[in-house]
Amino acid sequence: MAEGTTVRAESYLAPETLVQLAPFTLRAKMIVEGVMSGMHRSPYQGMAVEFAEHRQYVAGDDPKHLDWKVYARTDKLYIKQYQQETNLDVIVMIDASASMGYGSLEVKQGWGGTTASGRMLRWTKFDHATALATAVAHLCLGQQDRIGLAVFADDILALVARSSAQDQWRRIVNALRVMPVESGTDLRKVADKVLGKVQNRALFIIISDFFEDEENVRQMLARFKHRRHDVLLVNTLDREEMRFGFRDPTPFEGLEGEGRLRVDPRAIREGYLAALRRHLDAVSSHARAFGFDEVRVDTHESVGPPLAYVLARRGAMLKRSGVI
Amino acid sequence: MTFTAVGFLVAGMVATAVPIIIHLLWRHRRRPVPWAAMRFLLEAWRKSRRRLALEQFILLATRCLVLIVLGAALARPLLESQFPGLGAGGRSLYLVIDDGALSGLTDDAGETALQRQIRRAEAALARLGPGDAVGVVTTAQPVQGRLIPPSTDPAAAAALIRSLRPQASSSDVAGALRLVAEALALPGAAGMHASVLLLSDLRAGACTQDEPVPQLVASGGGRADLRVVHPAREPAHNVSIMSIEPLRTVIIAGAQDGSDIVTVRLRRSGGDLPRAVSTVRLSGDGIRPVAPRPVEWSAGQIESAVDFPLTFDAREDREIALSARIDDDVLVIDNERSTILSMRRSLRGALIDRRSFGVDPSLDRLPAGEWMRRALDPAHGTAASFGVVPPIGLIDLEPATITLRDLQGNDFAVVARPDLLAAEGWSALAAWGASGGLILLLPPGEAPVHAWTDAFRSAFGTAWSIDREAVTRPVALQPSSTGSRLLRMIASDIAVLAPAVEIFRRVPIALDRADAEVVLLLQNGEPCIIAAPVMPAGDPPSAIGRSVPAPMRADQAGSFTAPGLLVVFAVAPRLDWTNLPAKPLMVPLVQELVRQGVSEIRARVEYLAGSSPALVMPGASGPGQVEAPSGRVLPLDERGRPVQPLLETGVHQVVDRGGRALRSFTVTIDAQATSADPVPADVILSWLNRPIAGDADSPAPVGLSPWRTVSDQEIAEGDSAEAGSPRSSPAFLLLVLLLALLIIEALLARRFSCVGRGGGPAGDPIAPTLTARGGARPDASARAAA
Repeated sequence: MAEGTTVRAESYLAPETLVQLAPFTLRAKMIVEGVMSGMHRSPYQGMAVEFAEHRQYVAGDDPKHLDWKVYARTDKLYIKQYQQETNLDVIVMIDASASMGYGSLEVKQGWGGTTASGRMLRWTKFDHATALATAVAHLCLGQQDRIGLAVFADDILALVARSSAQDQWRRIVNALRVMPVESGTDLRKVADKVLGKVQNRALFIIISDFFEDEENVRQMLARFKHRRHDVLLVNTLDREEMRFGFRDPTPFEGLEGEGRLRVDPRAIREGYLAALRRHLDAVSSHARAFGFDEVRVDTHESVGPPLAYVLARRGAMLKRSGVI
Repeated sequence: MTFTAVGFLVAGMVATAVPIIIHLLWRHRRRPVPWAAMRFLLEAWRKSRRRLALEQFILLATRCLVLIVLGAALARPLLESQFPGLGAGGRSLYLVIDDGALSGLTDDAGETALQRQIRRAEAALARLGPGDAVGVVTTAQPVQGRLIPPSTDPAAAAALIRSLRPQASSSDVAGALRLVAEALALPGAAGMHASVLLLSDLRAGACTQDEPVPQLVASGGGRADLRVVHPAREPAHNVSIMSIEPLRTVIIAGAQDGSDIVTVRLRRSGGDLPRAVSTVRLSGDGIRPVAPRPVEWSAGQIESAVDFPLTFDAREDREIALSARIDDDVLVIDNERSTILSMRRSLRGALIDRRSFGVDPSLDRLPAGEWMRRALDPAHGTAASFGVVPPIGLIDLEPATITLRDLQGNDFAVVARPDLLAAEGWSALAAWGASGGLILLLPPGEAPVHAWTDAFRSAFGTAWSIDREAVTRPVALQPSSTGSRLLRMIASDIAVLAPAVEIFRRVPIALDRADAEVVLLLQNGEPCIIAAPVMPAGDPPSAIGRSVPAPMRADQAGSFTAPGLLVVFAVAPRLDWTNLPAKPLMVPLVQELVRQGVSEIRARVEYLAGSSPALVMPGASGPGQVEAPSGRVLPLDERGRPVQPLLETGVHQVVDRGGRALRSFTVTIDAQATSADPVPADVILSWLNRPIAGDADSPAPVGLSPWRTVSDQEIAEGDSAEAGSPRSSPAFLLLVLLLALLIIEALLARRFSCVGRGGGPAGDPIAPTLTARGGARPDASARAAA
């Protein structure tokens, strides 16, 4: 799609995606420090409306929280404790490095279009990341959470402040639509800068192909863990990258300045897939080590099912742990 | 190792560039593909770079090797092998087969000599192995390389040999061997083992031994095995018609001049000649039937002749074809011969003389031209006044103004006043003479100094000269004959009449070279009358005795028609120079000079079978064509030569594009080529090996071996020379190797291109999360999780 043409934000929010995500809610694994009443646990107890537990009265407790009914039945003093629920801050971080500009799926009429897809006339990984961010934003806004956006490559390229306004997702789409996709990647630097701007605990949804050194990925995740943020890694890959189905000898040219390489794809496919698989496993391993969720998506597939899957999995895990 | 067809090997070598070129072109045609996961591609490439390069090199080398082996197999390599059992072959056998006139000689069983040679050739072909090649050269003129360079298809060669038929032309064994020598010198024959088998009876007619035999050496270090079948020893009594010789070839209708006598000459050959009788028959259109004449041969007699008196029915201008025939004998093709006579109502001549007006001078002051007129027309116009066409008619031409147009249409011209000819006149006279005119040149009796001789020599380009000053010492004519064909019919009359003739004055003629013939001599030995041919410009002059009467051979075919004839008198026929005009010799002398001179110029034109002579003047009347006796038509090329050699004997007709008959000629067998006399084998071998033995001072070339005779049994069974040089052709092994290489290439290509590598887990595509979790549909998984 040509650059500069007007694209409706709704084109990134397919109806079937909304239908697929409707049964789910985005739950924070950790306790969040929201400023509004919401569906997420707050670190501040006793002032909310949702009963949490009883504990014995100790000197210094406010007598107004005594449960007189229990005292009448058991002649013991118990304090009623309540879990305060608050809203969640979700920050979507989208990789806009040049590698995200790759796509092998032909863009069809009615699909969204970014600068990346407009240049190649292919549904790029960045387009898919935009669609994912739009779906997440719509989901969060539906449950009164605040959502913000950070676009990065080798630095922070753009920021959209967190907001729970209903048209926040449009602002996110508009920011992404004109974003250039041409730089390299520096995850550690980006993580430091983003964390410097976020004071409260939040859920970071990082959408990237993570074509970065595994150690850099690990250090980035370590920074988020240190600040006790929750992270969801959405590893966005093109189907051709996962299959490498070329047959004829072809010159390949790196999108991030790696140069040109003329190889017989059939002769090198096995080694390529092994290297990529090793890298993806390393990224997954690092995510699991820090307790973060990680999902791998195929840009040729719809964005709804993988998002629904990860939301369902998080909900199930929280339910099993008795948090909700 | 040598190769039968080196071209295939070179082509295979060159073809190795094809995969490389395809690879290079393919590189440039591909557009680069942008790729995000380049770091993993580079990582995989770095790990397998050496292996991939090695695989690519092995694959490329295998493909190049396939092409080289294919080229080498098609090139039919020949290997000097010490290992029997690999299969004999790889030699080149050159069959030199005699299909000349003598190859039609039949034996008692009715088999021709050519059929025997074909049988031997087939026996030799049966000895060839799969890697051998055979070349075929035939000796009948013109010599033809029927299968040169040699072919590896013996069946085709056998079919070609079986199709050979005896030709009417003579054999040229030396020429055929020259053709073989040229074939042996070809690059493809380098290093080959060649075997030459000469298949001929080698009787005298087929083996004239007057030409040297070339050295047959296989180039490039190869060897040439030279064999010849045993020459025929059996007698074969063959009678040939050597010639048909009419006294005159131009017959003047109604004239009793003795031209009605035709002599047929016969010759016997073939070894011991017993007593025999041959019957000669002469026939032709326009003559009355002639009874057959027997020829009785005594034992050992070789040549004989028989005369036929002829009476002509025709009275108009036409050509008469005469055919002589004898009974069939062992060689049929030389039992008939033809010639052509020309029937004319009268001869036409031009008298180039200054005409005098007024009262006729007295006899003692009568000019030479007038004496010539009276000698040519003794009736002095009486016949014409009675409406009878005179045998010789004369027109008068002014010498100062003659042109070529004036001379055309005349048979002869008498130049009585050469001193009055202008330069243009001399040129016209020379051109007309060169086109077939008879010129009688008289010294002008009126001129004190003969300065005209300079212009004469310039115009005719003669090597001999005429003095400028006349000599006045009296001398008599010599009565003995000079042997000239011009005066052969009055030779006896000359002996009687010449002593009465006295010469008072003459212009000496200096004959330094034998390019002119003395017709009549003086007593002091000086020529009185000479004759010389007038050749077209550019052709070397030749003696009349050799060029005109003898049949034209193939190598003399450059002249398209008989040359003209120049008869020069040293004496002006007038009474103050000689008393000849008043003597009885004058009339027969002049008449005979004209009649026989025209006959010699219009003599029968015969070409040898197998020649391609120029039959019409180039560009004269368009290309035209030749009609053979069988009705076969041969077109003429732009040089006036038939596009194919003349192979049929008999009377041929040249017609122009409009179908108008231009002239007739006969194609005959070379009489010498039908001599069936056996030639001893040692004589044959001496002739064939003369290049070796005669060059004893210099070392013999490598691979040069002497000729040797072989028998039919040796041909059929193969000789020791063949068995002693086992050669193998590894072409079959190369084909097996080629097949193996093709299989290996296919397996390597499949292996290296990873068609076979995709089956392992490492080759499976990477799945997204949902697909990895049980493979359920993404939306179904989502609902189930929900």
